[in-house]
Amino acid sequence: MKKIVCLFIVAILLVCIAGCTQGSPEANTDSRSTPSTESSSPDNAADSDSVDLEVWVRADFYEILLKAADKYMASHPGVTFNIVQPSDMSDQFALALSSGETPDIVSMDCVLIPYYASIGALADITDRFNALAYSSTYSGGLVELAQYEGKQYAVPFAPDVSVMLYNKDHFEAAGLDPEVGPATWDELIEYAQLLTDEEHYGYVFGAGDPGTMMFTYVPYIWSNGGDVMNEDGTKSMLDQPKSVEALQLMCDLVSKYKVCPEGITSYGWTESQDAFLSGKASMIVLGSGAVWSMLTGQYDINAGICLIPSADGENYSSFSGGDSLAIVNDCENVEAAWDFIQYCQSEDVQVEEMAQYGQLPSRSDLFDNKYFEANPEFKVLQRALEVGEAPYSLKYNEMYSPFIDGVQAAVSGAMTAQEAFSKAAEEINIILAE
Amino acid sequence: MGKAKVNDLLFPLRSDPHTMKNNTSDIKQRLCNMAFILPVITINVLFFVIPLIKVVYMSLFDWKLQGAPDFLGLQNYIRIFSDEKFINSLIFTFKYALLVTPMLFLLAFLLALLVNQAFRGVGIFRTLYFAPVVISMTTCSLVWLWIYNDLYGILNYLLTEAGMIAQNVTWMNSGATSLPAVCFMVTWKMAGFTMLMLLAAFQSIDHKIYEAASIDGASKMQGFFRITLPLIKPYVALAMVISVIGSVLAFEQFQVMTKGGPSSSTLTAVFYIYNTSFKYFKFGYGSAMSMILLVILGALSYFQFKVLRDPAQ
Repeated sequence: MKKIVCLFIVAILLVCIAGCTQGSPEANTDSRSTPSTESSSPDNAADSDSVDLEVWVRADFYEILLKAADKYMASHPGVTFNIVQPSDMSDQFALALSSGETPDIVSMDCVLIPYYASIGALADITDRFNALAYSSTYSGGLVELAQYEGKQYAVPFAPDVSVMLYNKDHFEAAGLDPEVGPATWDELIEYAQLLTDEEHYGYVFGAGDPGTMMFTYVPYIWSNGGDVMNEDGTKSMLDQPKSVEALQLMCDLVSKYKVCPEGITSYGWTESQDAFLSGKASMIVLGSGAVWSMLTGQYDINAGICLIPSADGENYSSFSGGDSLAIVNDCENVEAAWDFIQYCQSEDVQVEEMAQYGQLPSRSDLFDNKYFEANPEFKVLQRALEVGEAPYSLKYNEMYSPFIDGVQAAVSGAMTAQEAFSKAAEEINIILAE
Repeated sequence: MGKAKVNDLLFPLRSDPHTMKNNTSDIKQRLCNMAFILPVITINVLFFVIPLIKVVYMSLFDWKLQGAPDFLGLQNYIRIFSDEKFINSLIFTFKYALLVTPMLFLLAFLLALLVNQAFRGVGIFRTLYFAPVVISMTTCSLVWLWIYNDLYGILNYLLTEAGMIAQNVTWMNSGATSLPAVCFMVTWKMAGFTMLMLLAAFQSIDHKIYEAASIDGASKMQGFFRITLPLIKPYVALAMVISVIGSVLAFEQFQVMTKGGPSSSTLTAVFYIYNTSFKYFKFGYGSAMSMILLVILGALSYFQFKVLRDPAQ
């Protein structure tokens, strides 16, 4: 009797182990048919000529792609696009690549495209891209960001640009024209001083988080004629005078004029945005998504929008980020994937699913649409996209740490702006040289 | 479980000559015993031993996200010793562990003493004190980040109302204030767990010992210092090891609350390893740092068990 019980237990355990080892990879591949998984054989034969592809997308653009896929699948029977939203795109995609269980299409932060292209994770789509009738309507910066060694690896999909938002009520109370935001650095300082009182600070930024600072602060460097990286992304330009001046501006706002909350070196995106939305700060740089929230009344405040102030009031800049669509190198059906990507560039998606809900279209020829006409705010966003830039680097993530360390050292007064960015540039150059 | 105990389990009664006759039943017994520890062994091998071997292997390579890894030998390890950032992160991690462990134990000990008494509704208190343990660290960190916020956080409001501070404290702005603030949060969150372990320790002591002591004329104080404390030592060791391991592996609380800043001053070792591996995709170097951390943790745990060894053994 004992023997039977023992054998029974051992048998159960073995089944469990077998189940565990077999079950995990299968769970990830979903319905994609791979030769090794025989368990899904019943529908394998029937599906042999149907298309079933997986698309990964960041949370911001998940809904858009979901609707786009629904529309596409409605007119393409036999084709299935699974839209998946990983908790952290960059981490999950890295894991997927190392385990070989990759999606077919990724909609990813465009600044990461150069790296993934450089390690051979993405498919070369140069010819397909050049054949697009509207390939010249994209923001030049975004197209370049999707290139590696002269080849095209992604198509801009959902741009996100940084612009300045300001609290109109605070402007009025301070005797400023609520319809006009600050145009120059001098105006920014002047306005911020007028707007700082017991109740609120003039300006806020999230110096605790590198991504936030890249997006909201680096345009100050660009509009001043400085840069983060040199053209081919091999050397840091942070230690150059024009870049240091832009850092000095932030330091002055914090220490000299005291128009920013003291805690900003610990603020990330959420904290700085909350400070603005709760009326604790009067001006902030946010993304195009915030403009839509503002227009649809999701914010309790009465906000205005303008380009990020530039040093001279002439050369404006903006961080043009957002998502680009790329085909993963292991994709089993590149034709089908490309067809879907093309569909995502159509008016059907770009205007009806995106512009209608405030998301900027990637093609400049689609900016003149019925939804944008009613809101002059979109003109500002369009202009921001035109002047927008993004740093090109194969080691974008790795630059984060020296960059933010430098910003924080300067803003907190531990170092001068020049010292802080000289150190940052030195560290970034070591990383780039590796 | 000690080595001797494992042997007893696998090879039962082997010192007993009578059972040697019945070989088949002996084997059966062994198989049966094996079956019982198989799940643990399986989980250990799958999720600890195999990954550990892989990490050791990876740490010898320049392991990229895609493409063939390049063999580096011990170069990753050599590099660690000149990596100022890693060394600083280790120092910070130990600073954190040294600060949070006593805080945690002091509170947990007091709580355990409180809820060890038999009074009406003691269960409610036990549950209440334990409740924060089940909340995830990330959630806790987000909630406390709000509490600590310098513009609209409730802590500054309360302190101002109470007249304790003249102007809002920017808790997360420098390591000097953010480290104690994070420690306070972790103590609040984790004290319940340590309390539970200490409570179990208190209750494991046979009451007859106290009775015998009091007959011999020992005071309550003497009972506590001479009986309770020595007898709960092994439990304290276990709770201590778990707590120290938890502190040395600290990650989420700092990622959420300080983001490692300002200027990487609150970057913990695991946070840096995470960045190196999953943000910069240097898996080889990340693995090498993990190995160093593992060795340090192993040594620490060994040391603690040694110092707080069960006097009976």
